[in-house]
Amino acid sequence: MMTKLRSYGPATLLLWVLVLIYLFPVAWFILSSFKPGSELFSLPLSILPENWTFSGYITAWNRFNFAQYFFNTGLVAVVTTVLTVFVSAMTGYALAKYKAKWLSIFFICILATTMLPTEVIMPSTFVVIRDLGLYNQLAGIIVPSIITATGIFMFRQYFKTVPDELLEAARIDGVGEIRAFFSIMLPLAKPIAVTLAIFSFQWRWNDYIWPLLVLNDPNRYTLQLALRSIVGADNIDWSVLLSASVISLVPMVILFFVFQKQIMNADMNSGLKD
Amino acid sequence: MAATTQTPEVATATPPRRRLASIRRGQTIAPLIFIAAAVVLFALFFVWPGALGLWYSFTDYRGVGDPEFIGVENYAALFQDATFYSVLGRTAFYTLLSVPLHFVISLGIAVLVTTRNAKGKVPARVVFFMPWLISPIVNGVIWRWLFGENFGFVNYLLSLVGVDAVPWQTDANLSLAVVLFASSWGGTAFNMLLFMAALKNIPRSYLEAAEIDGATGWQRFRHITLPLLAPTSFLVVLLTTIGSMKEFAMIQALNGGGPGTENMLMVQYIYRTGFERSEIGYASAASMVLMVILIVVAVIQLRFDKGSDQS
Amino acid sequence: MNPVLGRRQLMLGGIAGTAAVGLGLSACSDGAGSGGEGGEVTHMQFFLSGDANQGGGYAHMAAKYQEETGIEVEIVDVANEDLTTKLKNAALANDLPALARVGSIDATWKDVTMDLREILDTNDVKSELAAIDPDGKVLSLPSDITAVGMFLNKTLFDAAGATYPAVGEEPWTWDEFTETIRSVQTATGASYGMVMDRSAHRLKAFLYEFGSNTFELVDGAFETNENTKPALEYFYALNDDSFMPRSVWLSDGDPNGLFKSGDVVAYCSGSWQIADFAVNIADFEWVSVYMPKQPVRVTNYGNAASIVVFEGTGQEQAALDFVNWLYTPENYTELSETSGFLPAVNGITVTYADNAEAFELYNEEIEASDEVAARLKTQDLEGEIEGRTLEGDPLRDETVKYLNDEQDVDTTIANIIELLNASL
Repeated sequence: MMTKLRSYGPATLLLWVLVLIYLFPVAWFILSSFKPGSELFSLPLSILPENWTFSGYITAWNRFNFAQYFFNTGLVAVVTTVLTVFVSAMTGYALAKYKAKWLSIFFICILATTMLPTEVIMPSTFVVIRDLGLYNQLAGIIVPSIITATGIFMFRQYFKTVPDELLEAARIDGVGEIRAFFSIMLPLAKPIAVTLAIFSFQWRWNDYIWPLLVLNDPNRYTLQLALRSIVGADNIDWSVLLSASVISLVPMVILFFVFQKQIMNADMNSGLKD
Repeated sequence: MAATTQTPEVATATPPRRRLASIRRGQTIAPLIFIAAAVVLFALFFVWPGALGLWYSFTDYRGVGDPEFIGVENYAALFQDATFYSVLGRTAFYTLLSVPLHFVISLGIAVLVTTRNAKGKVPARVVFFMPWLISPIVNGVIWRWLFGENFGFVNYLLSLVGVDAVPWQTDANLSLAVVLFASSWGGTAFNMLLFMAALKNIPRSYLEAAEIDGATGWQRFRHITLPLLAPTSFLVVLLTTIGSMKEFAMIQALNGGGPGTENMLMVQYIYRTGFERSEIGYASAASMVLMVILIVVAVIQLRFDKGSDQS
Repeated sequence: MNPVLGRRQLMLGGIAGTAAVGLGLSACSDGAGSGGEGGEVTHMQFFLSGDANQGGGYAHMAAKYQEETGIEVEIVDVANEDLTTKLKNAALANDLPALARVGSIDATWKDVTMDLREILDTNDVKSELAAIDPDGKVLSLPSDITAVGMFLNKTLFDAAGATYPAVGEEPWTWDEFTETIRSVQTATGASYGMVMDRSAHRLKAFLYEFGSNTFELVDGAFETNENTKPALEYFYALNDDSFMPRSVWLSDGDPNGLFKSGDVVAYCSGSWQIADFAVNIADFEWVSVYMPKQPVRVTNYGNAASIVVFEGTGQEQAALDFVNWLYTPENYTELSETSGFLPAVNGITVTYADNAEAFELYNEEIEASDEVAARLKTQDLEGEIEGRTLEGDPLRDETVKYLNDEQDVDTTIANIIELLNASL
């Protein structure tokens, strides 16, 4: 019993001290969404609402069609995420497992996509989307988001850790390159695939600029656009903004809760041991 | 079962060169197929717009009308602007602080939420994940409430123990410190997830073998976990470096680059002196310079990556 | 070991790429089409921002219009920050809405707007706030007016037994104002005397009151008068972390939140705060009072936004009819009453349901304003038509540097003039 406490104690204590530090700002945010607007900035400072109210939630719920937004955003997020994971895995695999000068150069090129400020790229990208006939198409917000340097980089780093012997053995057995990837390598990369899926979901969930620019039907806008419209030119309705933000977090938190299990349950070792 | 007794160094070592060569033979088509989709998308959505940006950087383009070629005038003006250098210095300073901080915190937390020795890991993961979801504007109000100079929570706590108000907003370094706290807090989830997946990938048998040999927790971490994490560590360091050099949303939400312009970083400089004044040409030139700097940094860091997987 | 790409390999790559792109397309290209317009217009889009925040006046009027005419005006409420980009790109894609309520005229679409002259003349809209090009074409109409104004924490004033000029009395000077505020601070222990939004719009009102013409375009170059420097120095002295907290201007601190805390005596902001304060201040009483003068009585007022009708949408006439209907005295009054707007149409009487005194005070301040405010506003509108819109503001940005001791007042003024001239 004592040894158990000794081995669990310090790590658990440290973990929960950190949890409390991280939780504090989040708690202020969530609790404040239950404060009436008049309490948000009042002195003395208090983290707990004095008068609990749901008025921000009620206003937000009546004002925005959350079900519609969740559906729109969810649809785009799912399709984009599947494509992103697939393309990133293939590209990252090629960059990790094949040696050629042009592959190294292409990797630098991929990294470069994260290096320009969005404003430089955005106006011209819009013209590209228009010229490809993707304006006012859902594909117009999905296709440009498929490649991400982060995703490709993640898979590249991951496949580097997978021993080459595995691939060699497959080759000796006469398995083709493409099949080796799909039947041996891709299944091994499940934790990375799930991690990238979480990232991709979050990026799409919080994306606002492409849906706004590419789609002309406001019924197909996303949640973030609605949230941004709360912030006016000169003032912000904080109680509605905080409540609507809390609502918008819920699906992502649930998704994460489910997905993090997938990361932890993926049994990597079985693939590598033999 | 051979892997259980292998040392990690052997596991990550590349096969002998002779065999590598045989693998490579006839393997040119496969990688091409694998990267084909990425190449097409890269060409359409980066090269095409990026080339336009590069062209603008040599013109006096103001957003409308026809751009007129003016040679390297924008670049000359940029390199003559004293503000550019101070902004670059401040950005580098911020990056030097932010990268180690992000790295240590997220790795530490990733270890804690995956170790067998801690309780309540699942709720903890959710808590660490949530800050990443909060939008910049809400972050702005949260952190101002906490570190507001005039009516902030931290200063309120300090006043209870008799400490004078700390100028979190009007002192340049303290102001940057708040940005560092907030960005580490908000960015932990991203790096933590990367480390979690990598930690999961470390064969438990290595650690168990070392434990049987009497290695302490720290020794196991230092000599087994850390070397095996090298590819992910490199990923985190490079992405955080690029992210920090391009930090914008968080600064904008917290202090607008203040006090004054003392914490103005690169991207904000590009917006302020370029886009906000409709000087698209100048902004494009500054962006290209930023990209070149970042590519140089990335290439230098890539050398370390090569080193780590060939040792 | 052959690094040269064969033709077959390239082709294969191309096919794989196209397949990936095609996948995205086919997976989700359905349902994108918007209802086709042909013949009679029964539906049009009206882009604006902030309607829901301001009582939903436009949505209300659109519903009324549909009831009367059967034509649906769809209100698309886009975030203020995104509206400019949205319209720019819609113009590029030849997909502009029928009409919009915009913050400023944008060069990308200014040549595809309809002339609103007839609506302006028929309904006596304030023409000094309309964007009119040298040929007399009216590009935009003011949708409503906002003005800079002063709010006081009345509870603190009452506790200190201090007074402020009532409606109808002579406004106070900045010297009297600061003296009174300081006395309230001393008597009540309030932490700060005043906060002011970090905005050139508010600072301009301050400068006008000191007799400055801010920065005026004369014979092709910007210049300012001798009153600007002392005014900026006065403002610098107010930012002393005792009368005004420096964090607001230096680091983008939140003045609205600071005033709501109840620990600040005065807040220099504007008419748009009235609705917010009415709901979100419960701990103390607040009041709108005259802006101080030193010696010029003036506030900085202007169009909150402007209405434009786009050309080439196939719905021009329908949109013009709607705007004309909207600006008739009866309908415009209803809109102003619903949204709490200060009217941009002459000669109408708006009866505000809440905070009527505050709104009336603003209307009185606008009436009494020195002509400098209207003159400079016209200059801004002319600038918009010529395509020199600045998103950032040299006046604000350079003043912030001055307040942070990064440069002296003379450099500040010189820099502002240089930056403004560079935009010509």
